[in-house]
Amino acid sequence: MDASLSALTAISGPAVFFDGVTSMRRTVTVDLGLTALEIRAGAGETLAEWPYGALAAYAAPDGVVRLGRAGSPMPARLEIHDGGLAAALQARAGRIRQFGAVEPRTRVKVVGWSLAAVASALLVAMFGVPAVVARVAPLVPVRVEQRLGASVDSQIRSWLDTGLHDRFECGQGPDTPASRAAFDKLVGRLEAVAGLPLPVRAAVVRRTEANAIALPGGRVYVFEGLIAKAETPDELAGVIAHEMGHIAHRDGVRAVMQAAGLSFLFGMLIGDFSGGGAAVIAMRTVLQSSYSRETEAAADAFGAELIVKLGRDPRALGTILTRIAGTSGPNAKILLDHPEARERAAAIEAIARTAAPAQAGGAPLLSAAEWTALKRICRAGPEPAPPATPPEAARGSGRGAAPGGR
Amino acid sequence: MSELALVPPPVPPPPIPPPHVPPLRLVPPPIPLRLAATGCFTGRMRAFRRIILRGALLQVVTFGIYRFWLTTDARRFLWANTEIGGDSLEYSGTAMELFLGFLIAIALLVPVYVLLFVGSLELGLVSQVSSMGAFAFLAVFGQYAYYRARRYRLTRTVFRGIRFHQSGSALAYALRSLVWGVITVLTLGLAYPWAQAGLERYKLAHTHYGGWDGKFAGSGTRLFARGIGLWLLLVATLVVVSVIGTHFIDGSALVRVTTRAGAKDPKAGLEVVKLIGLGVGVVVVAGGAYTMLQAIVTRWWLEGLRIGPLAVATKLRKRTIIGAYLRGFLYAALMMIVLSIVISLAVGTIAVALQPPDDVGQLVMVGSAVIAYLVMALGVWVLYQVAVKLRVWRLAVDSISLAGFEAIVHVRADMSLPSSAVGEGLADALGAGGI
Repeated sequence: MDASLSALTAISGPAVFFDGVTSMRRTVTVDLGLTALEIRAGAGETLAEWPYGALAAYAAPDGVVRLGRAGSPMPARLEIHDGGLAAALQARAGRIRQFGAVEPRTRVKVVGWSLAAVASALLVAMFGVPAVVARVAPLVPVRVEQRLGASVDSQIRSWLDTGLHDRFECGQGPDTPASRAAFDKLVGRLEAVAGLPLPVRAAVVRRTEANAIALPGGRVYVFEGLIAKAETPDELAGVIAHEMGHIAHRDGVRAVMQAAGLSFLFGMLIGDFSGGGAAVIAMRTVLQSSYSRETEAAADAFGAELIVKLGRDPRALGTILTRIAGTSGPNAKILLDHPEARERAAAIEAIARTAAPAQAGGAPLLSAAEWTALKRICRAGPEPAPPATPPEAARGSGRGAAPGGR
Repeated sequence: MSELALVPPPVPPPPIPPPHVPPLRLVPPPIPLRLAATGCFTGRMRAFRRIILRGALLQVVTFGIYRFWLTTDARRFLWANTEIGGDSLEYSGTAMELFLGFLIAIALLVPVYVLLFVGSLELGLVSQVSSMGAFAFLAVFGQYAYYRARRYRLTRTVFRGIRFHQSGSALAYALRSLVWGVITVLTLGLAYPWAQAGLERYKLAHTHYGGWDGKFAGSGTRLFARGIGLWLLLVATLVVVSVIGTHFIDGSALVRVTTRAGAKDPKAGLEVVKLIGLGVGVVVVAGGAYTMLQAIVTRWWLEGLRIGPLAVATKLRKRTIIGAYLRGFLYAALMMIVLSIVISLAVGTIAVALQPPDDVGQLVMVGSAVIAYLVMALGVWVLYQVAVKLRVWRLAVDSISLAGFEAIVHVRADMSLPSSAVGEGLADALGAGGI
């Protein structure tokens, strides 16, 4: 550089310099040249010359400009505490790249692309996952489903079993053979016409909720509370037939695959690989309940047709669904696992109307004596029923609330 | 050896002043010789609060992806405002590095995740071995990731133009921490002090500032002596709780409360009150013990730090750390009370003023519960970062002094280079990350 020109334009000021080789702290003089700044020791020797284009500003406390050379392996640093010099530097060097600082533009980009990623993941979750699962689930061999079922079963049992009774399953004791036989007969009659890909293993279990569940692998648990609410064999048969629908449609395998797919998808997005985070669980719950509404409707249709095949009235399923819904109170639609009882009853009604003329008038599924025995399946047995949950009381309140249901 | 030691060390020849030294050099150096340097935190709480609050909101909007930028922002602030002997630290990492580390971690973890999932579906022995193996694997892998993440942080820490770095093997560290973890569990926590000391020794022995090596001088026995009271307190609490639980609370009455008839039973209600009282007592004791432990360990750790010839001393008072935790806890409690009042007022107003139909009403309830959960989780997180973590950091920095600091001018850089952020990504994906 021409000496006279540099003398004309030079601006100088004090700074602190670390050369990146030793940790010596040097008080230096900085000369701002035309294209580069020059770092001079107090005695006048030049320690370094950094072109403006190669400068980067690093994280520093307020009021300090900390400069280095971008891309240099040695973190040599020049610290300018002098406000006048910092301002002069900015005037001369223009905008210096802030290394590692989050700039507003970056922030907008991050937010925008994250929203895009979430939208894309949601679309995949809503349409992609069910589509893939629907195609893959039928291909899962029965043997694999049964193994999966056994592993799900032990987990579900440990959740459901309150441990208050000696036996979780009802009808296992030596003095309830009639109850057990009646239940097995009911299940057997349904299974005979269902044409399922794998054998059903059904049991009544001690849970007070009016519910029944089907697991992958053909396991069906009918809850004690449902037996209490059922007023006729047809109602109970309707529910069991509905669960057989789940087995026929391989819904257990589908549910497991969907849950895994959703945890994976959102877990990956959120960076929570265990899939146990609240956000992951919340999204999974909402999405799964939207999947399951269709699944439930399909299982209803299967169940209703099964009852029609036996020559009985499928409306009984709708009746008991309405009764249960009436007592359990209204639910927010979005979180509802089962479509609203009234809609379901209406759909079943439609199936009944088309089938009724042809096949009505079959023999009762159970005799009155068998039905009475079945109703007592959880009451007799090695252990007396707990005094706090008298089935009579539960049944009474169920009946009372039924007409008030929607 | 003793004979050798008796021999007087060779006297170094008196330095001959080189002739070219200018007379200026004979004048004492302008900077006074400091025997000990002190730490000083120069950041303002308001600035940090702004970073954390804005970051928390952006995290919600971006479903957590903003966390790399937030972490970088927070570290830049913390490092830059930590001043030791008049010079501040510098964090030279970038959010993009962290994000990249996260992407690499995903690529590495996806096959592992799939394997673990398939293994958990298998029956019997395979399933049990697989789930136990998964637990052990994730625990060890978490420590592996932690060690690598620590390497990233150290190589992104610059002081006086020299980088920190870390040698050692992440796998060796993870195995050590596994062994110490097993011993700690088997001894019911009694081995915890020695485990901490052993792991800190490994970490510090492999920590370097330029050509200086770190060292951890804290002793497990000393930590044990300081903490055994806490351990006894916890054991005593457990004994008292189990005695009260089995002898003074009627378990069958509690079971009855869950049923319809039992809910109206005043005696059962009394049992519930007793149980809640017991639970609150346990939480208070456990929280207090945790806070005490944090204070004891923080102080012990600071005192044990050595780097090159420098030794850290601290005048940190345990009660100031406990105060920071207590303040954070009180703020959180206050926030929850205010928030629940606001939300119940809002829901109540909607219910009375609009009389929405059942479905909509339910949606409002669920929606407000979700919002309440989000706001509380975020609020507690922000409070914890600002009122507890920053305060403890500030207290710790302000409390330290380094004896022999004049030697700092002799550190020379070595040829270490910044490490990749894969460790940070893994630690993040395994839930072991943090600011």
